[in-house]
Amino acid sequence: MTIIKPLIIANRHRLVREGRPRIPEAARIKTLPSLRRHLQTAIELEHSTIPPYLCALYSIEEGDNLPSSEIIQSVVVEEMLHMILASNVLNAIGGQPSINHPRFIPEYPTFLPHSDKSFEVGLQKFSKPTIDTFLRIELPAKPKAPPEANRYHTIGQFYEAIEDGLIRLSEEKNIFTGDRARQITTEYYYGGGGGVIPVHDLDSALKALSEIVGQGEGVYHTIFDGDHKLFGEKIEYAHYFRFNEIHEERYYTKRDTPKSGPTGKRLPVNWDGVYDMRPNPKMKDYPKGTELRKKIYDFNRIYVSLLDDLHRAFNGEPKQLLNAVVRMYDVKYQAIELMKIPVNEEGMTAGPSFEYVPPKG
Amino acid sequence: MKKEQYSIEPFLDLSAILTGFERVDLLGTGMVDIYYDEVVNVVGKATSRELWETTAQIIERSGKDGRKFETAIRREILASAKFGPIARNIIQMWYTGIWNELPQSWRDLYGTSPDDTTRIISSEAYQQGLVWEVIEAHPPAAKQPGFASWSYRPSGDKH
Repeated sequence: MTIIKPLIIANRHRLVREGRPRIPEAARIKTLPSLRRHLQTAIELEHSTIPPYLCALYSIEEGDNLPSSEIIQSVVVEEMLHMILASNVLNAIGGQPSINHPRFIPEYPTFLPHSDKSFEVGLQKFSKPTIDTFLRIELPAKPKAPPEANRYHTIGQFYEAIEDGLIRLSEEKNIFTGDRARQITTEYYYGGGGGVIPVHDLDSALKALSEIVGQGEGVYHTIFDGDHKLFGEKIEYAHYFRFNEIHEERYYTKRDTPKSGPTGKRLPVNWDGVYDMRPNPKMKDYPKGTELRKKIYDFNRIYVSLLDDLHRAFNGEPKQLLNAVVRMYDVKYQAIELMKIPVNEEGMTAGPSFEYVPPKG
Repeated sequence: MKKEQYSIEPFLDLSAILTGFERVDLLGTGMVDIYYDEVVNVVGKATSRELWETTAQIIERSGKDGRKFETAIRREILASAKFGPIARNIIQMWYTGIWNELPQSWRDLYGTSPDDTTRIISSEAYQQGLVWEVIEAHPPAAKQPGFASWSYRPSGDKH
């Protein structure tokens, strides 16, 4: 384990230090405040994928599509881990993650924060077009794609620009001055792939970032996510390839490559075993004072209190993460209830709208 | 809503007033169609249609007057020899997911169905019982609420 960890990081260093691919001077992150802003964006970016993934997951009728449910669920849990990892890096460089501000949740459908706006992400039921969108979210960077701090084409490019910023700025002075008590440590995370990495120096920061990118897109353009090397887990495929298994209705095998596609056994998908959630639900779809509007409002209140818990957890009260876990189950059951409520003659149903609503009073 | 709108609507309205839950909450359980079928199946089409018609008439008569609606439901449904036991069964079904065998006196008068036996309607019905919502607990072995959730006080604001 100790041999392989530095190896991955060393390669990433080299990739940046040799200047190949070069970050255009104008796109570099040059100041600590700018680096902090980018890491805040990273947290928002990781979060922005969670409501769409949850909508697809909770639209699957109970007991149906178990393999697909498991795949989406495993990805969502890792996106949550990515939020934690990005927050740890931000806290390590003296930043303050902001999780519960009114604009933290994007208005769906939305372009991903800071992206090149080539595609929109919405709140949609589980379907083939939805999985297409998920594939675009998790698309691996092309091997020679340059890192970009703004208007990046893939999430990996965005993180590479952050890595470059971390390395350059820490060459000038020690930027890892954050209070260690603000780090989320390993005991607070359970139930997903990978693990929490507390961040206190450049090495741990780069390790945290490579964990994010590796889980999303795969390491070195293989289909693996690197966790089996970093954490001694069973081999698990990166998000892009896990979604591709659903898309192709077939599992990957260990011998498969990105080019070969999945060649393993069939992964059964029942595209009809799904609640027909009306896309991109909003509270304003239903008149004020109606029961349904209130029910969607109640869902949003719980979701925002979950963000409040996370905000406190990332700002010096790590134990709040346990509260958040309990709240996540509430979010789940309330979202599923909404999925079952018919809203029109065609049998479409309501759904969770993931809108910011301030606390009462 | 796949069933005949006419029958499901009064069933849903009746269920809401009998349980004290909002219509959307009942819809959110996903059990409306299943419980509707259960009642029709056990008490028969004729009796159930009569019950939905009586409910629909009460709703029409009472307009938006909630008090009037409640009083009429008490008098014409809960106090009725024919509808009372069905209504009480509907309440228990929503709260516990269990269909209870109707009282013998009712069966003697209005007929017996082979399906009129005391049983948990389905595993889904067990999980969706309103009782869990009211006591702010989860149905044992289902809908897990997360580690250490038992250490939090119930909010007490749920019904």
